[in-house]
Amino acid sequence: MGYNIAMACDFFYPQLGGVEFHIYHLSQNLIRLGHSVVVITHAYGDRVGVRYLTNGLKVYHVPYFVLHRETTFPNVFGTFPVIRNILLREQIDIVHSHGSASTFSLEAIFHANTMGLKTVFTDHSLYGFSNITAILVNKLLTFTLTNTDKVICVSHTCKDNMIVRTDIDPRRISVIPNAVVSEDFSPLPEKRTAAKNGIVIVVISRLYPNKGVDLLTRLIPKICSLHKDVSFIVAGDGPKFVELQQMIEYCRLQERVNLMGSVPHEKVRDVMCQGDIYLHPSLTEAFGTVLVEAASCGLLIVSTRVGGIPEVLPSHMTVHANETSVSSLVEATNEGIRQIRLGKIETSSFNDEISKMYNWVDVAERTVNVYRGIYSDQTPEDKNWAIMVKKFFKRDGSWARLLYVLCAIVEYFIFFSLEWLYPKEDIDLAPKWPHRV
Amino acid sequence: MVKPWKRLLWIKQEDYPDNYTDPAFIDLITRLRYKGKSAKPSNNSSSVHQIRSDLFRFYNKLLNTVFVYIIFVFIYNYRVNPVSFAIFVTILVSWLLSRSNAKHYAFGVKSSLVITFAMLTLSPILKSLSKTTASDSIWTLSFWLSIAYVGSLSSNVNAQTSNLSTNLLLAIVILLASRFQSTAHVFCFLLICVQLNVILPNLINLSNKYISFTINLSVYGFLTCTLGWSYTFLALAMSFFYLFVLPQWFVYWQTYYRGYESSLSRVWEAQKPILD
Amino acid sequence: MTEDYSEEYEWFAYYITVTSILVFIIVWSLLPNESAIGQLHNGLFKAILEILPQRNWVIYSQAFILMGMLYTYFGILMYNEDVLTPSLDDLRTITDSKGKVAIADSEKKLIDEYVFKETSAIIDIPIMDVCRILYGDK
Repeated sequence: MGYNIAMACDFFYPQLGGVEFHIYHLSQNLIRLGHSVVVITHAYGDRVGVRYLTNGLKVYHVPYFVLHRETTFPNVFGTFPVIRNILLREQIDIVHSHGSASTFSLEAIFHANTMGLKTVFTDHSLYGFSNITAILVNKLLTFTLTNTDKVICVSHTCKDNMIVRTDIDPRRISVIPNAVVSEDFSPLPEKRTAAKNGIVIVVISRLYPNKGVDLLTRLIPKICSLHKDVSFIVAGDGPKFVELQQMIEYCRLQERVNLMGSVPHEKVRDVMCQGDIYLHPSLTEAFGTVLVEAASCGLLIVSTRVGGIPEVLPSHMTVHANETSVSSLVEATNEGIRQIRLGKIETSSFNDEISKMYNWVDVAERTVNVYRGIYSDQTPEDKNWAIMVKKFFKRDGSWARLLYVLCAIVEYFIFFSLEWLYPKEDIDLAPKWPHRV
Repeated sequence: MVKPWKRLLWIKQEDYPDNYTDPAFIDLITRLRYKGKSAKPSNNSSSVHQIRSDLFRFYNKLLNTVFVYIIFVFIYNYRVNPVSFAIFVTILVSWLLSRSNAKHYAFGVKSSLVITFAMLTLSPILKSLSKTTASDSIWTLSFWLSIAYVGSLSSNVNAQTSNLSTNLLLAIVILLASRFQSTAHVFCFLLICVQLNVILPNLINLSNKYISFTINLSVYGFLTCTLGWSYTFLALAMSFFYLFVLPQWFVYWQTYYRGYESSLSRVWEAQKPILD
Repeated sequence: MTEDYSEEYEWFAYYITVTSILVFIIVWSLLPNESAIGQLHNGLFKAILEILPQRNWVIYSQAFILMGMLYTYFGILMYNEDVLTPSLDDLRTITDSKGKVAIADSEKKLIDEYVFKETSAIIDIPIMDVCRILYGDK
């Protein structure tokens, strides 16, 4: 008999992004392994209420006040009534939350702990310590993870970051990378010949400053002047789009640089397949799923060496720039172009190799191992309220921990009033999706 | 034979569980944590010394700002004619300017002429700016603006003063100048304050032993003469706190409160792009 | 050895400012009334109190923030439930503009391709088929 798992996160379809697809594919593969999964997220426009996706993946789109960039209003207790109802209705054993900037995921863990359920948290990003937002997110995460049973990080760098940010026992943190559906990112059947058509460099990225667009705008003219047969495809949109446009006009590169704007997710593979080299000038990255996707399409990767990127791909698929400077990236790109021209590397085997390295079945199995670990490591006191308050009091600074304790105690009061207002017995149980007979 | 653990995601490391932690990293943070807990603030005298000298520079900047109020009191309360002092300051500043290089000088002359004429034109307007406002409102407003000005001063001692802080200073000066009766007073006051607080700090080192001594002497001397010993004592106590307690507190804060995270922070922060 | 502390100073300044504001607000709001202690409200002390806004405001604003938080909690709960939640017979609870609905020629094909099989694109199963699968045999 499988576990009943609830995935909680602010970000899910119809928004498209790394976290959203991670949740979707992980859920689907957990269902395949015989578990039952529901997703809890907030309503997106008119997508509100319950939806059943293929394979019986049930999604709750909770109507909730959205504050900023699809993140709901953070207020610690506000989601308790509805999340309690869903968790009871679906007879959930494990709440698995994703993403530290998501109110839904953090609050769901807090409420699930109060209700005595098992909790897991997956982090997808890196946070520093030198701006107010990061500090607030870190405090909130420290609070949430105090009583969380297990934590999953997408790379070793992400795990190191997590240890320092929230000061939890490293043994509670597992590293399970992201994966790609390698069938969806397969190279073209007949290989394009770089020598005949010239070399095409692809960049797919949201055009934000932390994605290294400033480096890109200075790199493109340099590469174009060095190599006459190299052209660029830049896909993605964002605040830095205009700067790229200006660069193209200023340097008269309209013939050589194709600025595509944002590309729907299902078209990403087609764009990637038009190129020989994938260039990734990012300044911060926890994992870099897009690198794996590009490599899976048979592209050579040229990338900076930030965050978790050095852990992700073997050296024969990548050329790394040693520092986040224009000159260093130009050097790395030149090296990539040289390798493609010489035809030394056999990119057609990349897809097979990637499918062995990163696939969702493997990720789902490792995640189930983490779930099993919760039950094998559990002690009867884990979800005892007094013990949990005690743990809150041992955390963090002298002011923060008082606030933590206060929140916990208020939460327990709310728990009692909810039990009285909406008794557990009165909540209908939802039927589970049948298994194929 | 167990293979050594590698910090890579693309190989399956069957011998190691998913929650295996990089031993090098554990070592690193244990060391940093240990350092944080064992370090005694007073042992670290070299850093305390450096911090004190940095704070001292900021302290002199603050005292220099107090001159705005001192000059104001002289003109407004004691009816001192500021013209001779304004001429003296102007000569001093232009002499100091001519001592620095010629290019700087030419630029300085041009821009200061523009500013001077602008101030001359604006003086009559500024004089009547706040005629209908009560003096108390002006004092309160200038108090809050001064707080904002102190807040806007950069903590980086070598950095150029920001536009914001210069503008705040001008706002304070203009606000105070609008209390004067004569256009000449307004102009002289503006001239003196701009030269003392905007131009002079770029020409001389305020933390120089002799200059700092002069500044201190004049500020505390003025305080004693006008308000009496009790206020001077209070101000001195605050300065003592600032120069001798705060550096120790800073080191203590850095070791016990700030934690070891700040020293590791660079690894995960978005890297700075180097646009060479 | 000279280290660049400028960034650290900024953080320390935040720390000091917030701490002193906190201490100041506590002291200010607990200060006894002017009539109760005549002697204290003299000289410098009096000058500082005169520059600051009236003391009542600090107590008002504390009470205001506290009650504001309470009202926000209830306000958001009610907003979510009364404004954002569509009624049960609303079309939005069944389908929406962003969902792609699985369409198949036959029941068997639908079951084979969508109901028990994952798709790499995100596709909704029509509500009628969901009901048939979940409640059909009851």
